[in-house]
Amino acid sequence: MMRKWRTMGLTTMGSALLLLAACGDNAEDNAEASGSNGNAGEANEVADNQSNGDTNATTNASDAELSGEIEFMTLSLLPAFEDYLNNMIADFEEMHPGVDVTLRDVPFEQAEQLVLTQASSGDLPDVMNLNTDFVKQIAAYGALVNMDEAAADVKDDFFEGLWTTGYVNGATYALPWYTTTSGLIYNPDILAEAGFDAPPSTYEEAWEMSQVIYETTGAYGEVVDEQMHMLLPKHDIPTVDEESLTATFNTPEAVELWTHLKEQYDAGLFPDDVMLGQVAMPELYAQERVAWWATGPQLFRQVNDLDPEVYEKSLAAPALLGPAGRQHANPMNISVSSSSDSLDAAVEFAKFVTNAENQLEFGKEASVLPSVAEAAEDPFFAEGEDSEDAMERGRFYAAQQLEDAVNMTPSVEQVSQVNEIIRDSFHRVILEDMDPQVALDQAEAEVNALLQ
Amino acid sequence: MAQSAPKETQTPTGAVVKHFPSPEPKRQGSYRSRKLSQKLISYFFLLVIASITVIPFLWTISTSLKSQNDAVFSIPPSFIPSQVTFENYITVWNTLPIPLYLWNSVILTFFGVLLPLILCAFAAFPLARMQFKGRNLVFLSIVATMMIPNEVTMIPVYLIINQLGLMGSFTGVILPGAVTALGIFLMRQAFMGIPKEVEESAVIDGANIWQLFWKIMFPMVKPMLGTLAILSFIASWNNFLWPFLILNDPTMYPITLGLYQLEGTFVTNTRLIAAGAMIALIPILLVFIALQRYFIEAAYSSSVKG
Repeated sequence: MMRKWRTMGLTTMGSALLLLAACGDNAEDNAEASGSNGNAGEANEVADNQSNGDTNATTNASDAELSGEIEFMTLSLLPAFEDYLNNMIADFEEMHPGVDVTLRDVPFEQAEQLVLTQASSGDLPDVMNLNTDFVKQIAAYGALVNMDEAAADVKDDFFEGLWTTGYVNGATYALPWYTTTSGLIYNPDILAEAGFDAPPSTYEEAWEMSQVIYETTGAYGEVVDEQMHMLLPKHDIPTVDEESLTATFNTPEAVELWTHLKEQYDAGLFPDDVMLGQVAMPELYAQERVAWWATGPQLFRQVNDLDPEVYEKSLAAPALLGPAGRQHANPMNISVSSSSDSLDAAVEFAKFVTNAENQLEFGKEASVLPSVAEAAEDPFFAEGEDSEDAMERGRFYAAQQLEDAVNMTPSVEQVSQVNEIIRDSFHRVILEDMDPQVALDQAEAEVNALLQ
Repeated sequence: MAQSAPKETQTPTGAVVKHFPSPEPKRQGSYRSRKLSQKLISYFFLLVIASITVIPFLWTISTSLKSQNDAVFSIPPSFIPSQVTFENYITVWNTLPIPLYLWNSVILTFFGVLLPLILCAFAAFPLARMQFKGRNLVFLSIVATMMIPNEVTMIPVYLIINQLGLMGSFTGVILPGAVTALGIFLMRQAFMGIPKEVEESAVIDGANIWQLFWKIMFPMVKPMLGTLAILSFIASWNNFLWPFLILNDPTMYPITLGLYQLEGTFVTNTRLIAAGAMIALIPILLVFIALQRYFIEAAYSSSVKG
């Protein structure tokens, strides 16, 4: 990125000098940031020890001594969860009177632009709610605190499969926050019309049923959406080898999978507008043009907003399992900027946001699942098995699968580009009739070139 | 006359066709019907285009008036809500400080229009009317910056604003748009269109350069100022990304940013967003209705000069 800006700077005639100066500063900032990042854990320990010495306190080092101002950035959580967030902040400020936390909520779609711009000027918020792809990108700038060190004391509280979500370049740069696994919301009317009384439980079943549903009702069953790059790990085909930084998805199984999907597409079983992101799944589902929708149960209620009648009759089921037999869980994350002026307070706040108590409460508010085991054991998540409401029931199934859930995002900083290469190559197979083997060969070469 | 003469000789039957008044009405008739069918075709296409542009707008209005029990994306789309409700408008008004957002938008847009008008004219006047060394080079390098997309300069400009300590201020939002290369280009064209004699007679009458600019030249480029004002107005009012990067206090958000808060991570209420969009549209419609004449004038003048 830095190099890119520099060449771009050169292209501007009059202001080239100014730009170069700006970029130069920037590079230094980042170097500093990555330097301090490596030491973040140590610095933290030192600070803790100091406060220990000063107060002669026994164990709780980080209590009264914390001070500073923290900016906490969340993604599209206001105004819906304003009360929850403000109460949480107030609790924290009460525990640590010297700390002042300000909340800033940003729209999800624009967050990437904002955070990358801020990262380039060393101006990141102290504590950030980031999605997994952002964490990996920004961690690569050296702008985030290494949580394996800074939060070593709470590491074991989290589900093992989720802790590694923020893992990139040999360390974890985020605490997992709220998460979701998939559930299935389905339309029993469409299934009944096609002669089924239960939704599918595996991908294999799903495609077989799709054919019958499509032929009898004209509706779709299983649909390939924009997140199709996740189909590879769900079918037990890992995308990237983190150690050797090479693509691992060019296998006979992948060729078979794509050939199979191409056949389904040619038979008209799934539409290309959903795959290309031109039509959103909730809309299609609310229009009763698709029999089921596999997604996080917290999103089920979007159907209620679009068409209450369709939601009313919908039922929930456990999510489809691929040959891998494991669910993909994609948590939201809490990261701390390594250039924060109040690093200790920021790390403490990050731990506070993700602790069992606060996660449980947020889970209840937002119908999402916690990433800490203690909160997930709460009876709240065991309710809903017999609920009439699709979302509550979906949450029950999703919570059941939490233990076995794992984050399947490739652990490389270029995760977004890797996923895009896979998607592009899949699109070529589907839309341009490219041979699956040729497409995978190309994608493999592209990913390898990207990662080297 | 010259046309009618050969025609008479060419007709074999001769006597019947005397002179051109008789073929003329016939030709006119066919011309008329041709004109009518042309009109019908063009009206047909205009209607098609108009409905294509208007339908999304109507859909937004109807969605904003739908109650929670009406489906949003039904097939075929339903335009008449089963029960008209203003609930969505009330909810939006109560959830977000809409008047504050509108006021912020007004401030940002006011300066976002005023500053380019004055500063671009200041920059363009010498480039158009004064002789100095390197004038063309200066002009060319200004125009050359139009080739660089905004996205490229965004991060450097962000860094500069940050270094100036203008983060989180309206000044930081307004400053980068205060002078635009396009504005300088347009104003220079306008100044170049004024006859040299006007300037010379003003100088003979004893006007100094300052009076020449404010009293003579500036009023004469009003049509182009109108064009620039409208372009700046639209750009400022709709500006989203830049205020988003610079402002971090929600109480300073303009309406475009403020409304974005209606989009939630989990559930997005489509009806509320439609209502919010309508609320944001009302001020623009008022401005357009008030300044309609100038909009069209601006379009004319820019087409002639450009």
